[in-house]
Amino acid sequence: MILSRLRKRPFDPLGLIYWLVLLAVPVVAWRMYENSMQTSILVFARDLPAFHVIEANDLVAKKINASEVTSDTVRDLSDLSGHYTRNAIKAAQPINKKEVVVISDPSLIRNTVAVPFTANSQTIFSDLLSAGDIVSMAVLPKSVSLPPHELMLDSALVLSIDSVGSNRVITLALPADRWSKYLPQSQDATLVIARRVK
Amino acid sequence: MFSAILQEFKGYFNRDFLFTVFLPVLFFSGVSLALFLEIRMGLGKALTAWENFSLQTQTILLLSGLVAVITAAYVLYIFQYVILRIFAGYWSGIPMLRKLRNSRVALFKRQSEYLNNEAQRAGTTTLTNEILARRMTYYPPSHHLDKMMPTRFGNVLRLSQIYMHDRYGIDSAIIWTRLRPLLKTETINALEEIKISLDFSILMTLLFVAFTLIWCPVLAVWTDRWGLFLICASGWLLAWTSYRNAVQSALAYSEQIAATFDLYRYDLLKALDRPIPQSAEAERKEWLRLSRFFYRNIPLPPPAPTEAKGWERVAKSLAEYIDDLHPKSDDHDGEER
Repeated sequence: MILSRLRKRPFDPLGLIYWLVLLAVPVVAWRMYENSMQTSILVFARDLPAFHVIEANDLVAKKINASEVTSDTVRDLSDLSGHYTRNAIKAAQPINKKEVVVISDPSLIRNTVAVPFTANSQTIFSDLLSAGDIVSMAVLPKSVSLPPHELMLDSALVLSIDSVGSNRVITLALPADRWSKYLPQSQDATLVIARRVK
Repeated sequence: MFSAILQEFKGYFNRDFLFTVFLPVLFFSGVSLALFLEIRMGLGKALTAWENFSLQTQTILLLSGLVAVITAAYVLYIFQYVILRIFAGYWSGIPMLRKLRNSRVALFKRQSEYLNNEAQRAGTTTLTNEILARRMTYYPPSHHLDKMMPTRFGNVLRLSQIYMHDRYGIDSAIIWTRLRPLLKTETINALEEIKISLDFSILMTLLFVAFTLIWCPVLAVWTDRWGLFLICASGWLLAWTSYRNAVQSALAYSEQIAATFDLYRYDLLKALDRPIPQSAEAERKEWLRLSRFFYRNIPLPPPAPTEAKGWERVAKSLAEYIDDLHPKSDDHDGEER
């Protein structure tokens, strides 16, 4: 009965506009609330491989739920500029601070190749090594007939340190044009890596 | 000289100006400024910045703000009559609203018809009376549907005009300006009281609508301050409330104007040295003649001879009786004349 009465009631288009605007208010407010609950962070525009030097065009801004952002999530460009990726990172995902490493000396990563070395406590002079550190490399011949130890590389960038079983794998950035020279030197020799004191 | 200037200012800043324009404009300017500062830098920072200003700068800023508000209020005060007419539905001169006017008038006619039908269908007398009361309060009578206005506010104001025209043949728009100076102070005060409430409600409606339509999109597009958005959007509801209040004030005003004409219309006739009509029909004719005289300059006929009353009537009858006792010849009559 009420419906039939309402149907007969003359339709007021201006009244309808008024009520539509009023109904739009909570919808817009809800969208704004959702927006306020989101925060803008920087993510990679495409999938990036490990040890990639991050540039501005690799990044895009993305809004995500504030709850997804932790204290380790990278938010500012300053946390990414002059850094490289420690491992492969998917596009559009929040970037963890641990996934990127600052490059203290850009010349150490330019024109380099990532070369992994198996290391143990004997080969590393310092247990405090971490990605981003600058190290010196020397070779100790296993045979006494060979010439004494030689400093192989004065400074190299530690790209990453991973554990594989009981061993540790240290990936170093070695100059691309010279790294093949180091291979014969490291044969029958113990590689010693020492962290350079800054 | 200072007192003269003060008197001049008092003339401008009367109660009407203060309540109907200045305070609403001051309120909305203040709220808008606060919103702007909150969005731009946050109110806390703005207050700290204000405290860091020197006293001289603060005074200059305050005075500049006050002058800006007074100027804006005064401009609105000048246009208040125009605003009122737009709210009343006088849209013929506005090309944008002309088309809307016809559809709105048609809608109100349909609504009036709908209420008539509803009243007929209502089961109880009480309900019928209620519906008819609503019909008579907000719409012109059925025989005056041609005078339908495109807004409810306009229709309510129209009611008193129709009432005066139907009862006395008075064109209130023409006669009111002549009647007003004759009114007693208390009558004028009562009318002004309602008029202030009416003007205030209309301006608040306008300012609430403007405030909401400006700030809500600004907040929605450039910020995610949903709390502020909801506060600003409440202006849309308040605009509706203000408009409803304006309609109620218009009802009271309309009623008061009708009552004023009922009580004081003869005072105007006396002031114009016109005879008091003896019948409703004669009165309608008299007011019609007066309206034509004021509006179109059509000359007034001389007042019709009135019948003597009281002692004048006794004296006249006595004179006739004496004349009958001592009839005079035509020559004598002529000589005497």
